[in-house]
Amino acid sequence: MKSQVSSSVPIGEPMKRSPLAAVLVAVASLILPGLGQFINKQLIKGLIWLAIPILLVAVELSTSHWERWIDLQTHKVSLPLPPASPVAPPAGLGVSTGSAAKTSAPVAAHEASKPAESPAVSHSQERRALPPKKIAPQPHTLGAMEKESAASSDADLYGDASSSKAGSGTTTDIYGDVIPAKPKAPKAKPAESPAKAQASESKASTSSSADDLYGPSSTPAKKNTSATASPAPSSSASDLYGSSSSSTAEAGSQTASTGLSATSAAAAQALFIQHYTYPNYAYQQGKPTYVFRDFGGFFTKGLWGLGSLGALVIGDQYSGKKIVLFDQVSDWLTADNSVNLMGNGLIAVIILLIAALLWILGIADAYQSRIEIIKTGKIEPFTKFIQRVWHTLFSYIVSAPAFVAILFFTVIPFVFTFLLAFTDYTYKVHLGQGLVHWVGFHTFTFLALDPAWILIFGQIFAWTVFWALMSSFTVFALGFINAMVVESPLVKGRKIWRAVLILPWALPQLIVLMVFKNVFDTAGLANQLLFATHLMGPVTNFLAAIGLEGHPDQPIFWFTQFYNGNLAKFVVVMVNLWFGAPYHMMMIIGILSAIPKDMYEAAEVDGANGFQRFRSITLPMVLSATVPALIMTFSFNFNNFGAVYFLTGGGPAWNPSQIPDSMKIISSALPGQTDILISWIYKLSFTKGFEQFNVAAVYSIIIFLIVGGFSVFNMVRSKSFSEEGNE
Amino acid sequence: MSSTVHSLASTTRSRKILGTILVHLWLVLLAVTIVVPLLWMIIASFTAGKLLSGVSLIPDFSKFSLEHYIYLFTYKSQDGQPLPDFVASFLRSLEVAVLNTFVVVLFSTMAAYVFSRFRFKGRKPLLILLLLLQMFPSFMGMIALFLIFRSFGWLNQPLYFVTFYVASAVPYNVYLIRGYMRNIPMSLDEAARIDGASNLTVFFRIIFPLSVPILGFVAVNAFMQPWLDYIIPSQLLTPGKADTVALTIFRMTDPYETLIYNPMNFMAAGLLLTIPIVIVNLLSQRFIIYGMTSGADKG
Repeated sequence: MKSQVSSSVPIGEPMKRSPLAAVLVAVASLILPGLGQFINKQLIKGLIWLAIPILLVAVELSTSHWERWIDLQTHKVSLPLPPASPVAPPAGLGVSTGSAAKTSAPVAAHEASKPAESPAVSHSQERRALPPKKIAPQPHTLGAMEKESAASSDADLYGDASSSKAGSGTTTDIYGDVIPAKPKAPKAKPAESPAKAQASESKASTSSSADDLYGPSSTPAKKNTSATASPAPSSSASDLYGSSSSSTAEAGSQTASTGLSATSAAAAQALFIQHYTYPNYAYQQGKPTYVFRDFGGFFTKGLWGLGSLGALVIGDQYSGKKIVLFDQVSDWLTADNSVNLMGNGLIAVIILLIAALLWILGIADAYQSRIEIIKTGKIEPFTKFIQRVWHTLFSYIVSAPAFVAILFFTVIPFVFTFLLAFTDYTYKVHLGQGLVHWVGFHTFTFLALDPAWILIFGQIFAWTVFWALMSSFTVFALGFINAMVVESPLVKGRKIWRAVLILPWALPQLIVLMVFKNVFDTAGLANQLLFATHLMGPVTNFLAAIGLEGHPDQPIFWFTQFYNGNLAKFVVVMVNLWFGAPYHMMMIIGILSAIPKDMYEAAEVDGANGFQRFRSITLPMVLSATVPALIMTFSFNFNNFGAVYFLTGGGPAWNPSQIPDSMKIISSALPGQTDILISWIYKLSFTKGFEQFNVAAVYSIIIFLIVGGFSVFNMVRSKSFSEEGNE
Repeated sequence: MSSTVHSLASTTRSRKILGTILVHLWLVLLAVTIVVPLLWMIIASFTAGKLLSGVSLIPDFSKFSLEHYIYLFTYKSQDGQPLPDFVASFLRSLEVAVLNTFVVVLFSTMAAYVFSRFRFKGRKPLLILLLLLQMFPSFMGMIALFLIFRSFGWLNQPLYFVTFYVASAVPYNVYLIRGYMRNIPMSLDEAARIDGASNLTVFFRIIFPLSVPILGFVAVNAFMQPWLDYIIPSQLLTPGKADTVALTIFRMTDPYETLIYNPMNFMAAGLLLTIPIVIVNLLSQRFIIYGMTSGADKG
């Protein structure tokens, strides 16, 4: 395109010859993605990289309220603390906590909707509380209540803004009627910015409606006119909170008297215009404020949330308001949900990481392009660039759908689970009412040191390993035997036998396991057969004699009585054998048919008998071909949730006397005797009311390390992987 | 058979006969073990009542009844439902399974094509990542999955489960298909390229058709995985609302579900669900055995 770079780049000219120029370009790209490309005169590439920060910033801004933060900082809206006058004490933050104060506060919409709670409230107050109901059609639903409160508070907080903008008599009336708290804003103003207060007062004096609009200014103005200036500040403070009963009552009566002519239409308009309240940090003096929480967008709030896991819960006093479960209008009034914050934060981090990766690629590209320009003196046109990277790009684009799905539905959930292991998230935390905290390795050390948990975990883990070994070994052994038998020349009607033996494999696992669950029901087939053949007595006695069954009962309670634990384990392995052997049989038949026949013939000529041939030819050949499959079977069975959960549901339970008292607290999340690690994790995670998410996450990590270790080991020694390395 | 034996000593001959008897005894024993529970299931599904103790292995025609099948095809938990519960959940699961089959095959094949034919940065780390993910039990991320589904508004909508099933099925399948594709000679691609074929043309005209055997295996698996999956629906669906068929039949055997608990209904439903699967499995046996052995080979 442009072959003469040097002449057209005045700044680049001196750099052009030295590699320093390339470094500088790289630095430029580091400062702003795409800048290096622009310096290299590669406009389209530059734009592509520039799009990354623009996109991120756009997402951040569109999901944030930073513009409101700026408003607040530049005093476009002023939310001053009420003056600390001696009259003010009732207006303090603590006021709203008192139940009487709450009920009397007309601004707090929840209270307004519960008139029964406010016996002490004056008549005028109640009247004031009613109008909002007109505006919001369903005042009794939570959402509507929040709306009301938000709307009223908005009006208050905006105070001056709304008055100056709207400036209509009706609005002021409405405000006056609806929201006794309006006075807050005007009152508050005088305290912080006397000039503004003056202005508002003057406005108020011009029109009675105006002072209502101002809320804060109106009351003082009125009072000024009535020469009762001193009570004004205190009443305003209480109004701001909307919670201090006495002052509110005063203000309420005043407002009620002034504006009864409010029309609901105007109120609705006001509602529409004023839909956000500013957190009033003036009230947080000496207490923490959460700027990222209140104003942050997807990324900033996400990172804050991931770091802190939230700060405020239902009922907290924050910034002069009360945190509720969900506030439709003002995000910052909504209680923090630690788990949501963590999830959003995680996604934000992952997106930022991807962006950072692209950024680094951009820096490298800028550097290399510059080197290329220095060498050849030519700028690589964009089309050439695309041609050059098309192969790579094609690879990424084509595999992108798969990886996006994996990222969102496998990787993020996995990382999330990993993170949960470092928190204290259990059933004790009710999201919204409580917060989850980062506790570092506390859960790990607790589980490693607490004797009760070690005891239970040890038993479960031992059984899991035993189960994985036994189930893998038995299915392999029986599969091997069956394959040898079916393929043996002695068998007649081989096809039919093979079809029958393969049948269990063709059945869906879930249904098979649930059928067996019924077979081993107390009234199920197993007991029926034992009774019908009169074997129940001998069998139970035999089982009791070898220690599988504790009691020679009739009938056998397979999965329900704790003394049958070992029997249940045996049954689980046997059912898995029933179900899993055909798979291995099919695989081994395939391998057997691949063994060259002349090997056997040669062995026969050498005088080897059947067993020798089996031991020296068949066994090694089959084993070497099936070791990877065996390892896979092992790791599959290690996590074979269904084989346990659908068959026994983990039962029978432990003997209660064996369970340490400290563990009984998790009641139904306790494992049964046949529970393997994965099915216990399922119980720990999803037993309603007894969830132990952090413990489940720790155990998940343990499983992942074990199973992942096996699969990596398997991969490293597999043929395809070593080929991969040679390529 | 005896023709191969005649050169051997008579002791060997008698041992052979003994062996034949033993082998067939073994086979009969196995066949009985395999068939009896299934037979019991079939009989139970045709037996009146709700009690397992009423089912005997010897068919009792006085208890014969089609009530469980009638129940499946008529019972509506709410009046005004267009379809009976079981049929509705069946169709729901079918939708999910069919969609999942197509998406899994498409995504896995595309990714496998790239991994088998192209070199690019991050290829090996991504392959290792796939392998690790394949071993991670996918429901361990369930809490996060629940959050994700909730924030997308996908709860109680089984069709969206496909996203999750795809994500959990793709890693293994990419590995598997890639191994197969590596055995398709590169010279075919090169010849096509010389004729002016693009990457995508090569993929759709050459690689895809040649991979059909392994894709058959992948498709059958991709159909089966969601078809009777229980864990995901049990966590992401409200019981009784948009149940998938696995959930429906599980609830039939759950004594706590007092309204619909009836193991005999389950037997009937299980039988109805099992028969098509058995047919598909046996018909596609060739593909599946191929996939199994190549899967075993590739680790």
